[in-house]
Amino acid sequence: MAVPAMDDLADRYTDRGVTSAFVYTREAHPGERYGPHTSMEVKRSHAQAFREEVGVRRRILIDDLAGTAHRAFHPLPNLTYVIARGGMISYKAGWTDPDDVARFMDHTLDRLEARRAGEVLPMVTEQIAWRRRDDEGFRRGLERSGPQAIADFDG
Amino acid sequence: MGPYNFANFDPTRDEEAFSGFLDRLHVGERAPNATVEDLATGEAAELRSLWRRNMAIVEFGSFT
Repeated sequence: MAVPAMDDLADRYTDRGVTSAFVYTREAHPGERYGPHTSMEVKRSHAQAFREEVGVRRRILIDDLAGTAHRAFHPLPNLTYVIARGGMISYKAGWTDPDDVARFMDHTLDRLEARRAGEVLPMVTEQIAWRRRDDEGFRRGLERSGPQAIADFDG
Repeated sequence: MGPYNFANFDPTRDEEAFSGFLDRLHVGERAPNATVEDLATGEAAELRSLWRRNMAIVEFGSFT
């Protein structure tokens, strides 16, 4: 989870008319401290702890207990989508990599300006991207949750 | 797929968690809406309100 870097990106693009939010989902590897959500009350308290312990500065939206929002997109644990004004998906990533999001945003925002000048046209691409490994950061999340989360991930 | 709020992750049971990402919600399609809860206010919010007037970056996740 690359929360600080994604928070920084949110700050960076706010002035360019971009809204950012974090949707709190289920715990992919429940632990002793942050186990499976058994009620909205539990999910709310975990989301609150997530904000405080991880220091999230973006707006946090809590999905419902059934994971309706999460499952409507995809139940992978750390997705990022960029959605154009009006609702068209313009970027989807199966894992959140702030460098990749920044590359896309910088390019897209520049090209949207060029489009207004009639210089460019949109096209669709599909590609394999490469994310930075952040084993340490991921491990910290598991440790916050507890030994059971680590055992769950390590199998 | 097993229950959404599982007690432990089992890749054999929860295959959907890994598969199908490329087959669903393609770029160019409309993003789904859902009702969520704003942690700061406790009030219900519509996801689509994020992108109604602006481009939106939406990350999904948790501790783990």
